[in-house]
Amino acid sequence: MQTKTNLTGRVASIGNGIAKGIARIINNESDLDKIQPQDIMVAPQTDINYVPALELCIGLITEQGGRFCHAAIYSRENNLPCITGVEDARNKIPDGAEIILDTNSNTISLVD
Amino acid sequence: MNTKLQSTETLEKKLEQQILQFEEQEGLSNIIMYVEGNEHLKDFVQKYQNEIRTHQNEWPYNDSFTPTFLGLVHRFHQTSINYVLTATNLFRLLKNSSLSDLSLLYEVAILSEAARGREGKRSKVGLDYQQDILISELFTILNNVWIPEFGDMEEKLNTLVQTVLSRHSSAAELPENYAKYIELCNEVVTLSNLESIDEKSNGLARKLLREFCCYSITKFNKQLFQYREVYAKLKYKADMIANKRYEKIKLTEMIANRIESIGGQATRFLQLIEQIDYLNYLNDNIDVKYSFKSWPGLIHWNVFAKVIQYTGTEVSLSERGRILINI
Repeated sequence: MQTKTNLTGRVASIGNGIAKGIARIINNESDLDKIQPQDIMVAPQTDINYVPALELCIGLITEQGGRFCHAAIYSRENNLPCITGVEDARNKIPDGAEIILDTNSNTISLVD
Repeated sequence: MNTKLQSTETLEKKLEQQILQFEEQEGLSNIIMYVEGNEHLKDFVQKYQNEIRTHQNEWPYNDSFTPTFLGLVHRFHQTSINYVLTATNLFRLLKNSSLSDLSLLYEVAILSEAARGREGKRSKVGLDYQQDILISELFTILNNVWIPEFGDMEEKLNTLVQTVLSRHSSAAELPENYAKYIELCNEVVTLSNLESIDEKSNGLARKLLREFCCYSITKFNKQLFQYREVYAKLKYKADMIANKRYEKIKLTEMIANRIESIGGQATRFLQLIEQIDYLNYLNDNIDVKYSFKSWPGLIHWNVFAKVIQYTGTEVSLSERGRILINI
C-alpha cells in the first residue's frame, strides 16, 4: 500500500518514470558509504564526488537545485528519475523507508 | 572559435604540467600521506561552499562590468592557473606554519578564492551567469524556428546543452576511466604498490588519484569498489553517451537546416552551441579537476578551517581576517 506524501519539487529527469526502493538520507559526503545498489538517494545537493555512489542508485531526490544543478544534469544524462527542490526532504522522508519516486506525477510516496 | 577551443586544451595541459611538476618536487607519496591524514577530506566541499556562501561576505573583486564570453574565457584561464599555483604554495607553507603566519596564509587563500569565485556559480559575471545568457539566447532562437515535428522543445534544449555531450566531460570521463582501470588492472591501490599499479594501468591510477580523488588512496579504492559493482552498466553507459552525442549532432544539423530554410542565418545558432559546449567543458572538466571541489580546494579549505578554529564560525570572511591580525 502506498501513502502519498505532500512532497513535490521539480522533475529534473523523468528517467524510467517510477523508481521503487529504499530511501537513503545523505547529509554529506561521509554518508555516501550507506548507499546500496537499488537505493534512492535523498540529499541536499550533489556534486562530482557523489557520482560513484549515484551509479548504484535507481532514483535521486534533492532539496536544492534547479534545472542546471549537478543532480539535474547527472540524472538527465543517466536516465535516472530525479526530483530536485524538494523542501525539507531529509526530514520528511525516513531513512531506510521504502518509497516510490514517481516522476510522471511528480510525487514521492511511502510504501506501508 | 577553434583558436579558443585549442587554448582550453592548452589550459588543461598547463594545469596538468603545473601539478605534475608539484608532484615531482614534493613527492607523490608525501602528498598522498598529507591527504590521507587530513581530517577535512570527507566533507570539505560542502563546508567550503557553506563558508563562501554565508555571512554575506564582501568579496574583494570588481564585478561591475558587462560580462562577455571572451572576457570570461580569458579570466577563467588566468584564475585556474593561479588557484592551482596558490594551492601548491599553501601546501608547502601549511606544513611549517605557525599561528603568526596564519593571517598571511589566510589573506593569500582568500584572494585566491575571491578570484576563483568571481568566475563561479553565484557571481554576476561568472561562468553560470554567462551560460544562462547563452542558453536564453538559444531558447529564443529555437522558439522562433520550432515546429511540432521536432518534438518537445524543452527536452531537445536539454540535449543541446547537456554537459556529458561536451568535449571531455568529466561526468563521462570518470566512469570511463574506472571502466578502463578495471579492465587493465582492477587492483586495490596502496602506497607501496602504486608505482607498479600505475604502470599496469597505463597511468590511470595516478590520473584518477590526482583528478578525482584529491590524492586519497582511500577514496580511490572506495570508488573502485563502487564501480566494480556497476561495471556492466559502465559499458552500456558509454554506448548511451555515444548515442546521445550522435543525437545532439543530428539535432543541431536539423535545426540549422530549418533556420536556413526559412531565410535565416544559422551562424549564430551554431556559435551558441559551440560556446555553451565550451563553457560546459570549463565547468565540467577544468573546474571539477582543478578547482575547489578537488585537491586545490582541499588545501585552500585547510587554511580556512585553521582560521575558523581561532575565530569561530559566526563571522564573515573579512571579519576573520581582522580578528586574526589582532591575535
